[in-house]
Amino acid sequence: MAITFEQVNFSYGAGTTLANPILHDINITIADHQVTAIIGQTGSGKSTLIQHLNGLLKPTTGQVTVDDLIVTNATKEKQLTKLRAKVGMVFQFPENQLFANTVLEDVMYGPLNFGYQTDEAKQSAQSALKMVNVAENLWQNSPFELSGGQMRRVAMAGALASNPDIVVMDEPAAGLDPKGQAELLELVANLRQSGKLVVFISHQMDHVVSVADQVIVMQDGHVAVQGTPADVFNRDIDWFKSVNLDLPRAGQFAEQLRANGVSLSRRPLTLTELATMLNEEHKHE
Amino acid sequence: MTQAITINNLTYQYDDHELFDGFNLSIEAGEWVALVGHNGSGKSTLAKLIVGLIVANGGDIDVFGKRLTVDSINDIRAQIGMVFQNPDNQFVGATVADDVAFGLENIELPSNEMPQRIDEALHTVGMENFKEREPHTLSGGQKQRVALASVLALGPKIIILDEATAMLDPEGRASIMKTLQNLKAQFGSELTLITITHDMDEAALADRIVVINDGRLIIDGNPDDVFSKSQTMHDNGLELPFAGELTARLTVKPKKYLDERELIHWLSPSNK
Amino acid sequence: MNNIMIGRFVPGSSWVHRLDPRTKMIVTFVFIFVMLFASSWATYALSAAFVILAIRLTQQPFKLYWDGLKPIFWLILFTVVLQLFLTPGTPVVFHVGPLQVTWPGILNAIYVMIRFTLIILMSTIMTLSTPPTSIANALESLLAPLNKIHVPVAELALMLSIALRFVPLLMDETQKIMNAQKSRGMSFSTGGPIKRARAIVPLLIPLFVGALQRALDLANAMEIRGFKDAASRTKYRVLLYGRQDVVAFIGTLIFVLIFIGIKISGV
Repeated sequence: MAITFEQVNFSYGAGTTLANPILHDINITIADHQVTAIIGQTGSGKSTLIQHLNGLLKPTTGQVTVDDLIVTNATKEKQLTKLRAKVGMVFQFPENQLFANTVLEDVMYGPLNFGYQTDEAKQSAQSALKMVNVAENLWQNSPFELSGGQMRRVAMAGALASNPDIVVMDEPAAGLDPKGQAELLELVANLRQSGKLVVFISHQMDHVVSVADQVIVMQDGHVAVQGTPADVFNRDIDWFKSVNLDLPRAGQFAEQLRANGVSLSRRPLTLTELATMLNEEHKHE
Repeated sequence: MTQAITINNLTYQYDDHELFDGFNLSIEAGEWVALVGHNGSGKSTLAKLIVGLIVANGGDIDVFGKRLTVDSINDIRAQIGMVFQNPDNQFVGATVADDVAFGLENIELPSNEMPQRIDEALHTVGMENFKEREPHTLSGGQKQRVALASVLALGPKIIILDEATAMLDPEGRASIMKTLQNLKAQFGSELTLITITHDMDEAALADRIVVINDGRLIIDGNPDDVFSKSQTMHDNGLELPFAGELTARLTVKPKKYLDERELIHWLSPSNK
Repeated sequence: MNNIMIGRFVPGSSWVHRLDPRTKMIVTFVFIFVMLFASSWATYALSAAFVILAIRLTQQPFKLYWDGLKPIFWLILFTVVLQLFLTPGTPVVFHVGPLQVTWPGILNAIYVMIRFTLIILMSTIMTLSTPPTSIANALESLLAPLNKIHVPVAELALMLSIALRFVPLLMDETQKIMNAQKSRGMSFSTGGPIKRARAIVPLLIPLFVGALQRALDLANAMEIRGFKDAASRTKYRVLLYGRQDVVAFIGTLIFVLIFIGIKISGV
């Protein structure tokens, strides 16, 4: 169920005078059963990249392989339905896609489109709603009567309801408050536990270090680097400036400590790690 | 001190639910107040009540001593500027300059005085080089700075930012925070600033933090006071700034709440 | 969507860009009106020359205009074919089944094609060189006399300019919702007509809900910035006729006079 990109280039309006190249020579493998975070500044091609994961965009040249399905420029729209059943896609502010009369009907929309029988669709919708913690007494309500946070979770259930092997999320935490963000990270961890491949875009490095196994850094439509969070976030501080990214907060704090004469044996990436290191140090004094 | 805003015994019902029931708060002229709370805590509703976009069921709101009523609403709004959450939904003009001009056209400022006012306002937020740009060519942070310029051009005494950074990327958020600090430096006590947010780094910039939950006032104090009550903050669905969360996990803690710069100094060898 | 040039503004500082939007609007309407009377090679040649001159004065490449014509190529072709087969007269050039193509038909078809093309080019010159707000302002100014018969011209103009402002945003939103529903298996290409029509509901409802939310937000933002009614407002972009407008009007007048001259002399 792994995903590979081989020499993928993508341009909007390819072949016209207004061709606008976005992705250049992408060669990556996204491993199964892992969480991969895609980071990079706004406009670096992250969203364009993930739209290749379920054939919303087809590579201008090169090919994308998802499990045993190959997508090239010549792939027909009809063949993509099979791919889309495998990939649950959560867009930025997904609450904007809700449309049905009830929460349950909205979440059933995907499964029904992918050929589930009505009661099968209902069952999988219900388990998806449970997974994202939408209380059962809301299932027959109109999705438009819910709070913003609840709408977001219903929309996520809509992408998870057809039980996809791959879950892709574009900045799922945008606009959520601290509690909502924590719940989201828990959901990502649960999805991983249940054996799914998760890809998510994030601007929050703290989220990346807390749940990701792999990190892909995008810059100007290229893959600048791919590696584990430990590899990527231990790079030189100047490199982060060159790609216009921040370190996780703990790393930033450690860099400032270093500038003030506190030497730490390595760069901590999480709050807990930083606190442990500082407490250890104190013991030795 | 002059009171910029006084809220007395405010009640407001929403969907058969008493969101505010006897809520009191006063904000002094020239203060920078951060109104914080988790999503759905009532903080944005409060802002809309202050500017009369929604009407309270009971209680009084006074703005610079003037009671908010149907008759006074236009005078009161002339003193308050407000920046909303969604950058796209408050951009009225076809270009940056037209957007800033919109408010000036409404107050019937003579046309020949507009260019100067527009230039000054755009300069204050660092968008003077984007005058003729159309909104869809701007980033979210840039659009929010234009929104800020649009209210600044009207010379308000109070500016309310209602989760103005919630939809922005880190770069956009940082640019707004920087702009707000510049504003405060430039206008000082002439400008009362109210920022509504659940981002504690943003709240930490304010002189005073007011935590609300479910329409009730939970804590009211300066950032050091508020951030030293870590349990209360967590109980109300909020976090502390990074320095606060770190301090909570240290075995040997400083005696009082320290912000990031102070904490780094406290941890550095020069302090030992 | 990117290649539709009609209605798109291309920023610039050419002579045409600097004209008062009212001038451009008046000249365009005069030109379209005059074109209705074109009937001979000489009048078409004169009109074409006028358009070519105007295009040159916008300092934009011809290719841009050519790209703009392409999307409506089929519309032009359809009209041309209608003219070709449905114009009676003699001599008949050839038959296609029950239809006949006559010499006047061929001439007519060519004329219609030229007329169509020139009118579209002229309108493109106006929209390409004038920002949407200025077009709305010009309409407001030109239609001001209608205020007397209680037509709310200022409101209509403001509505128009806000509508134009939201077009790119709504197009963007449509694309996003389409992507979201396609990801959930939405398909327009399967099933009978009823099923296909129903398939559009998951697209339309979020669009309407989103647009409504935007409208409410925008109303709040406008109200907070002191908007009371569209009529009692001053204007940032003041419309002033300048020297170049006089030149444009004189140029147009000369064009019209020569046009009439040609018509009278029957060339």
